[in-house]
Amino acid sequence: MGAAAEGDVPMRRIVSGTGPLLSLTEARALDLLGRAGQVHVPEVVAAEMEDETPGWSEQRPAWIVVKALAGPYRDEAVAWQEAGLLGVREAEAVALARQLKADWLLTDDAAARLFGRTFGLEVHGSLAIVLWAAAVRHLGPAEADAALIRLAKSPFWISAKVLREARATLKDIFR
Amino acid sequence: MKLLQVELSDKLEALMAALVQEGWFRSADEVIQVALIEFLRRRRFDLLEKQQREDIAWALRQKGTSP
Repeated sequence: MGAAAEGDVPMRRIVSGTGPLLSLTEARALDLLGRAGQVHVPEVVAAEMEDETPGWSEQRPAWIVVKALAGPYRDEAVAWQEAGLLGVREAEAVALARQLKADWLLTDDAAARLFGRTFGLEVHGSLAIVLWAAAVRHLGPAEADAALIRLAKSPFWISAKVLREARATLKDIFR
Repeated sequence: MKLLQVELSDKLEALMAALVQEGWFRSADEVIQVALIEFLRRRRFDLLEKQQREDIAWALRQKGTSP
């Protein structure tokens, strides 16, 4: 499960919140994101990653890019945050996805997912990344199942029922 | 900021006006805003499960597509 080889990186433009970065890192599945495309994060997410994982800024993979919000997008993020609709990191991730016209917005926050969808963004969470990697054969059956189990033990919340459904789906994917 | 026109029954409108008049909210706008936030808070886990099931269905559709 290595990172994509140079020149082999898909051009998909992805914006991620903190949740998927932390959970996939803990599940030892962060490399899968690099195989999906270039990942952009707002500055506030980068700051939280640095808090959670000191040295992250220097050690982060080259395919993770920290991006500042442009004026109008910063304003809308502040408005959502002040209205209490989204937390600061989620608000900035949704706004950055809009600014960059991202192919995917990654967040495990229910409200941010709803928000992103209302703006026409394609929104997925950590679970989708592991299952996608299985579907496109970046992972084999055993690797994918092990990654799902590690993901369930990470900060990512998933009910036992949905985890069972996800593991059952792997069987359909590899059939 | 978007301006929305919301249709409410007479009873709900009266309840909303009473809540504002008694000082629970500053305006009818705030009632709607708080109701939305409260909905998201209470239904967070239901929403997450629904969204995760959408991810599962989506991933299955990616089978055989190019990475």
